[in-house]
Amino acid sequence: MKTAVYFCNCGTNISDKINPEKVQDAVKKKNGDVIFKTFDFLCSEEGREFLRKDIMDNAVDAVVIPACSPRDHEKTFMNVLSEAEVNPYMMQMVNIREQVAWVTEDAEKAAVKAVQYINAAISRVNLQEPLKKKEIDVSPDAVVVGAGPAGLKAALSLAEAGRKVTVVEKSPTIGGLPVRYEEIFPNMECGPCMLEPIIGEALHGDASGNIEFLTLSEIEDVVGSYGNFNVKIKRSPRYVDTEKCIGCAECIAPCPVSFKNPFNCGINERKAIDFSFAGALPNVPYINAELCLRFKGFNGNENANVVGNANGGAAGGFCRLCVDACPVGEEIFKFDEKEEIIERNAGGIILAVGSALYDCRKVPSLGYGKIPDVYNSLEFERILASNGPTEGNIRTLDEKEPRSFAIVHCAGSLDKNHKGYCSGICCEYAFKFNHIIRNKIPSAKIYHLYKELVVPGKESGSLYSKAAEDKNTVFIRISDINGMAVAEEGGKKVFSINDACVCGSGGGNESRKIESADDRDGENGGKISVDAVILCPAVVPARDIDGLAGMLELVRDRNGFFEELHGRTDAGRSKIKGIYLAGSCHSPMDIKEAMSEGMAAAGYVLSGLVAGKKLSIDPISAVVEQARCSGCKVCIGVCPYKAISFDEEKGASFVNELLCQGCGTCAAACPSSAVKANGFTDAEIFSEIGIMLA
Amino acid sequence: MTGKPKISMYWAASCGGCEIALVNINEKIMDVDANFDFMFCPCLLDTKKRDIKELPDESIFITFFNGGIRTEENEEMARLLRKKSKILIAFGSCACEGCVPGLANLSAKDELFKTVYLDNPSIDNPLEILPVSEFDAPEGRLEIPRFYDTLRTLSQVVEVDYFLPGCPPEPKQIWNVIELVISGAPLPPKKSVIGAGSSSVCAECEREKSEKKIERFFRNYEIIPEKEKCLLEQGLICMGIATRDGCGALCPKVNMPCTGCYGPPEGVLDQGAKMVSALGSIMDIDAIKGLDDEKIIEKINRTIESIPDPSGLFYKYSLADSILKRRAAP
Amino acid sequence: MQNSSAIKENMPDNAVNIGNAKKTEVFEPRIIGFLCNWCSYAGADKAGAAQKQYSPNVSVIRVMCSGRIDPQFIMDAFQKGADGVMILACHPGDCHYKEGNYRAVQRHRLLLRLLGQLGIEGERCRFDYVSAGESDRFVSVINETVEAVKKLGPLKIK
Repeated sequence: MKTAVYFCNCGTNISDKINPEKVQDAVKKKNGDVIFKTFDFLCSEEGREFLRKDIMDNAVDAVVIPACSPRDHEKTFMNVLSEAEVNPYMMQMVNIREQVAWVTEDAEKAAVKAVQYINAAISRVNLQEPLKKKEIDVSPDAVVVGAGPAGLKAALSLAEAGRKVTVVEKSPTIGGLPVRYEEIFPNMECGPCMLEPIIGEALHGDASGNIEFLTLSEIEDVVGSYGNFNVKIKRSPRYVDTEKCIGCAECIAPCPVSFKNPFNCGINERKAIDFSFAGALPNVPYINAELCLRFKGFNGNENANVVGNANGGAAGGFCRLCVDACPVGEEIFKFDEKEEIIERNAGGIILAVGSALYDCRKVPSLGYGKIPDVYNSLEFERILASNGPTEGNIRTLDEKEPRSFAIVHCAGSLDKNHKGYCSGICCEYAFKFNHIIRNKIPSAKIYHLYKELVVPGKESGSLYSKAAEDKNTVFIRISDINGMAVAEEGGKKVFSINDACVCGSGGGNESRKIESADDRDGENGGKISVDAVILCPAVVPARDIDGLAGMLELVRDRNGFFEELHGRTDAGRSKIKGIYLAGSCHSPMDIKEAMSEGMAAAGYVLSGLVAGKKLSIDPISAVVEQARCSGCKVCIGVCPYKAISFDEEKGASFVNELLCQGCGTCAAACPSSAVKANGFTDAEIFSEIGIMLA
Repeated sequence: MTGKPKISMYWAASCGGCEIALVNINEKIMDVDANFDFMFCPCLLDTKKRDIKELPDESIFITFFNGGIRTEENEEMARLLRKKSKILIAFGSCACEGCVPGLANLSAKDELFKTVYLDNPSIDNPLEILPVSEFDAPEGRLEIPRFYDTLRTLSQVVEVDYFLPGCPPEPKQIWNVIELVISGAPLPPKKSVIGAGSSSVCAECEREKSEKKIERFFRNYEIIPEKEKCLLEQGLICMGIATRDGCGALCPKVNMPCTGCYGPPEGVLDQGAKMVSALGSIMDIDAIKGLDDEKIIEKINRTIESIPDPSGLFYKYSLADSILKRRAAP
Repeated sequence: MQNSSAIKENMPDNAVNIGNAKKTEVFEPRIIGFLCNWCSYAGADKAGAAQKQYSPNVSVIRVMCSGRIDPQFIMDAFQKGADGVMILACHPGDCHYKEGNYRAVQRHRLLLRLLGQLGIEGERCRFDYVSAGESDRFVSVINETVEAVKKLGPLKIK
């Protein structure tokens, strides 16, 4: 093996401190036949040309470059090696600029240290192996899970770039939560109207041919890895043909079965065949097979106790009231539709499954679920919605217009007994509620009970100011939500607030009206009574992320959200390569952020997975020497990228080099030294240690 | 004298268990006798050192040398047997990597003497007499072999041809080696480990293994482990992960964690360091995520508190052959 | 090359032997520093860019992640004559590979127990966190460690 040392003077940056000749002499003394040359700026065009030519002329096999930090120019010189037809991994840079010349006072000590480093590098590079990048084909297509703002934005962006996208949505409706909101902060836009252009574009626009929507569908299984996932999707039957149905709703009124509508939080009822809510897209009703009489073998015209003709066939055997009402015809009903498994190949998977609200029953003192007219924010959104159960009229359960409201912020947030974080959106929609209530019931008294007020962003100030300047809106800052309790007294919801929990009036913030509990009109010390209570709970992970996390082996953070690859620099990537996160499935966020994240997730797919472009795999990765692997499985859990799996047949672990990032933690962990860290092998590091200390 | 090849077995700093292991090949001992002239074994035969000295060099076909090099005499015999043997096999853990006698390398010679001859509760030594290597008695000068400060393994003193690990080696493995020699088949490359595998005990252990995440460690007496599940995953420090296979995972089979007697697997230089690395890798990191620097250390220290004697546990057999080999001088 | 005779006078016989202190000289410890590529090595580079002078006694070995550092390397360094070893990692939560530094600190705590029994003081095996931006911290961690090992004197491994 012919080894050459190319010492870069870096102008005088290095040579001013470290005398190259001195170094050359000492290095040659220790490594007799090594080539040693110096150059002023090896990274310059002339320098690189000199390097390339000299490597070729001398048929050099391994190169040591004492110069700047490898963090600066390792890639530069690796490219030169490739041009000189030498494997680029047969090189070792020696950082004698940043870590010797510039930081060592004594020139002689600097030279000694440089020699020591160079000798170690020579010894190491002679043990290095020519490594090769591997290339594999990838699918440029994507599967998006969740059809809320983030998922829709991601799908549409990808489709517009010509990518095939399958959107998997578990509900019968696309649009996510905002389509159920009448108005949206900060500018009081109508939710469905705001999303309409995006949904319209996705369903009927120029790029819609690239998007396939699978509603009532869930991910069943995922195999493969980045670039080549195979996704199995389970689609439950809708029993109504989405292509042929015209969405006229004629079928709904005749349906004899009603039940609590989950899309309106159970506040009103829906039919066994119905839309999720008025205006839901796709504009096609669906049949709940658990309730539809036809699936129970009942005839809707008769008393429900009468069992119909199980053999069906003849009219009158089964309920067919919806079929008869349909102006299009019988063919749009597909009662024999079955659950279906659909497979799609994709290079990347975008998870945009959204979030849920903290279950306020876990804060029992707030009375949620026990006392009537105590709502969570989602229920109240539906009450405010013109397509909701009360058609937008605020009414108590006994049909009265409430005169007073308590809006409880931070319900379960910033509280170590519940959720320790601030969800960041609740104050904003609380002030939206304030605004809407004020418009609908101008004289209503509104109390805001809060721990902290958080209204970030350039547009959030106006709803807050409106509330803050409003005479009939009262702010009460509570230090501990557990210090107040709600009880029902004569139709009123009465808050008893422990004085100790009320933060002092003024509070140093004059722009807020902060009153102490015993300084309010119409109430007795420490009590306020209202007609309706709206709780703004912490945003928490949706329940269905359990299944997805397990199936995809995704890591979850301590709050249960999907954990990001890096919370700041790579928040759109999960810890599994090729699985991206968008929207509130990894952190509470508002619609604006969710939309941006959808776009960002699409960006990852667009930049990483390009048709025709092969995926290049960095050879600085771990390799399991399977013959020596004992199958102890110590390495499996050590890998932060889930790149190590176990081959039961061989009884040995193996590394998916596509997923491996080359940290080498598994190599150190392996108690039988059966894992080799390419580029940083035990032998290479031991030799460095040995020569450094020789 | 017979025409059969000579075979010898010697004990240096060891317990005698290796001799018992040899006898434990049972009736096959007759085959050994049929094929070899078993001519030197202080435990069993009365051959003297001078008889060996008189032999021509390399006239013993195989020497099984068990025990570490603790004294001058151990060293002398190692050199003598090396010279007189064609094949010198480090037999058993003491010869291979020092074994339990090697743990004495955690102390200096004077500390050892103090413990053994002065502080030992079963010793009555009012004059505080300690061994000396030379003593002028009225009858003349007495010499006993010098006691070294450090116990060395056989290969640290003389060149060793093969290593047969185990405390003691399994009779089945001993027989495999003898049978191989009898068969006349080509022997493995010099300096290899014979009569054992190259992987770790887990390869032979039938317990169910899965991803490891340990919240706390237990000592053996603290829990009754589940029968099917990996002992390490249950918090018992089983050395099997960092111990060469070949024994058939005998200890885990009977619900006892492996203590590491076959030494490190092929390619591992230091059994103790590897145990540190592996255990440090499988302790539950969720417990320290999000904590500040000091809390992290507190939490980890609490977890490892239940390992009262890491070197005694991780280096029970291999300290003398570990990277550092002994305690540093003060 | 023309100056080679002069050079020979200036260079110690064994050119790499920084700390091979002669009896009359002050003890110059030899320390091996394992630095992770993304944080501490970058922090060292930053100290270099700012030309902050620090003790030359620490020889740096770059690894991609502190999780790569096998305690065998540390044992080996001590055995081959290091008076001290440093492991510098990303701060908790900042590891480029997410968790490598947690594994590294866990191993280090257990290793300290073992080293203690082997007569090697904890100060000779320092674990610390240095981020890419903390050039001052890098310099002070290096200097502190060198001073601490100087106080302990040479490590006597037989």
